[in-house]
Amino acid sequence: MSFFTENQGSIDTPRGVATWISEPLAAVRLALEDLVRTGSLKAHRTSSTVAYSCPSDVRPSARAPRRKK
Amino acid sequence: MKSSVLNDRDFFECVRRNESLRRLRDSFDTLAGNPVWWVSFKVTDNVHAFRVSLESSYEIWSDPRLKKFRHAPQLYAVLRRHGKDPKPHLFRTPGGTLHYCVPIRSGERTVGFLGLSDVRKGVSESLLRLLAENLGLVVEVCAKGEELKRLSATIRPRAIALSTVHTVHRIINSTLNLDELISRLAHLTAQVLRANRCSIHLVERPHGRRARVTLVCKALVGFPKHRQSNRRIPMGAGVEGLVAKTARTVLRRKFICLPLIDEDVMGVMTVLYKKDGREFTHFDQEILTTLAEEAVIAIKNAQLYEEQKRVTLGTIQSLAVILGTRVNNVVAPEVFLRVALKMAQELHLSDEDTQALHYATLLKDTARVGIPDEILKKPTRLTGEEYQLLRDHPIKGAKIVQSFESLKPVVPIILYSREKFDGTGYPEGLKGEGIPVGARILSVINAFEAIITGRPYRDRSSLEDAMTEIHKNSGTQFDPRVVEAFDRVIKREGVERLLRHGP
Repeated sequence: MSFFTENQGSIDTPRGVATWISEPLAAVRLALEDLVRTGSLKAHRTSSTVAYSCPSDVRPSARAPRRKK
Repeated sequence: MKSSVLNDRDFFECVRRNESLRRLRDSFDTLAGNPVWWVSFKVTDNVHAFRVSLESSYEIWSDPRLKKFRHAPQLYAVLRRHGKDPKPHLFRTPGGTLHYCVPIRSGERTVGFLGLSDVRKGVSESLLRLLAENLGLVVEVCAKGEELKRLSATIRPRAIALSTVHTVHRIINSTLNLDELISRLAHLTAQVLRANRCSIHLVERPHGRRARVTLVCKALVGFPKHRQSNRRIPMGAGVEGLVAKTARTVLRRKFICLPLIDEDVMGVMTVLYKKDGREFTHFDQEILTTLAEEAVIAIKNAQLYEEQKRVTLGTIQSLAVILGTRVNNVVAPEVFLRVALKMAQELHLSDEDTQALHYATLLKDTARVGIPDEILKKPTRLTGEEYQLLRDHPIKGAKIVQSFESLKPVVPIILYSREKFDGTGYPEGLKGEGIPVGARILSVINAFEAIITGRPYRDRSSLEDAMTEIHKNSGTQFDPRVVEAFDRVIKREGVERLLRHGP
């Protein structure tokens, strides 16, 4: 989780995350799925891979800061 | 090695905390006559700071003599004089105490000193030289460590960003559906750049001499709901229009707008407002450019795929029209196509299966091209030979279709459309779920069409008769689940009106 907290824009596969944090791939895979279940991470599933990222928390109604006149 | 990042204080602290410096004393202490070991940051005008610096040596070697060290003023005076000399020097202070002092160097600068006070008289110079060389190694290891840290701090975020771009490339390339691809791309781009908003506009070049080239909004992420997608922007108007016209990226504090360029500008991608309120940087622009380059290829592929799909569908429709002219269609074939597609929706078929059913419904009578008109339009009962010719019709149809690579999924639907749910059909006598779902739907559609439009040797019947007939054969000829879906579609979609007036 700390990897995604430090790199909030990151979207990576389990193999990628395992490389960055120097942990075994199998353990990373399990941990990532656990974090998805708890809602801490978001999974992007495709037919060939699964990628993980921080939830984007983009709210369509969120107002952007107004420009100063 | 030159440490280009850390300032002198940080580098000195790095050496001071190095474990090898602590261990240096273990190797040389006895030989040097158990002197007092100390380190000091480079000498400034402040003697008090020098004294504090000396006392901090206690943290390294825990030597109680450092607590009441009495040579500080003399050492300070000597180091003030020789502070810039890069060589180690051996000297005496008043009273005859022997000191040995080695400068700690970072590149061309002296950042501090390692000193030995109360050195045994008669200590060999080679021993002191060896100590200085060892200290030099410790300093070099520290400098290398810091350089590695600096490289890691520079390269790691870029490597992680590159890995992210590669992952995004994999995600967006996993679909050929243009709308889905653009939507994914917009969400992922907002995620990667930690932006509150992202929009993607594609250039639309309508045919016709007077038609104006416009940008059409294809995806909006994080915008208020009233901001509609499909909004059109003329080329040259607004930031997006300007970027599309000039093909130049615009980087501002609050947004980046960048052209998607293939051979020509095919669209623009915009990210607005960083989540943390910071400004967009050139690094963000670099990442967005890489993402855009990947996106262009994916968008182009999806556009080509959609174009190919349109061409395939057009060809199939033309073929269906040609085939349709060989028999009297009292009801427009589109009605049966619509019912088939609604049934697919009702049975939650995937997009791929629905598309295959779509094509199969249009091509189901392809083999009619090989059947003579006198058989197709024969008003009396068919002979055994003639019936056999019609019976082979799905097999021949499947053979014709299978030569088209893009129509491969259509083949089993046409081939098994004459199978019966109870296993008494042909050509293979498949049973129940063993029959592809598309073929089970097409089987119902075939029967429905035959009853509604009639045959040269049999009068056409009403919708009620068709429904009764299909219900009667539910569970034997037809899959009951498919019949239920058919029932729902007929009741809901106003098929009776369509049969009377056409689609």
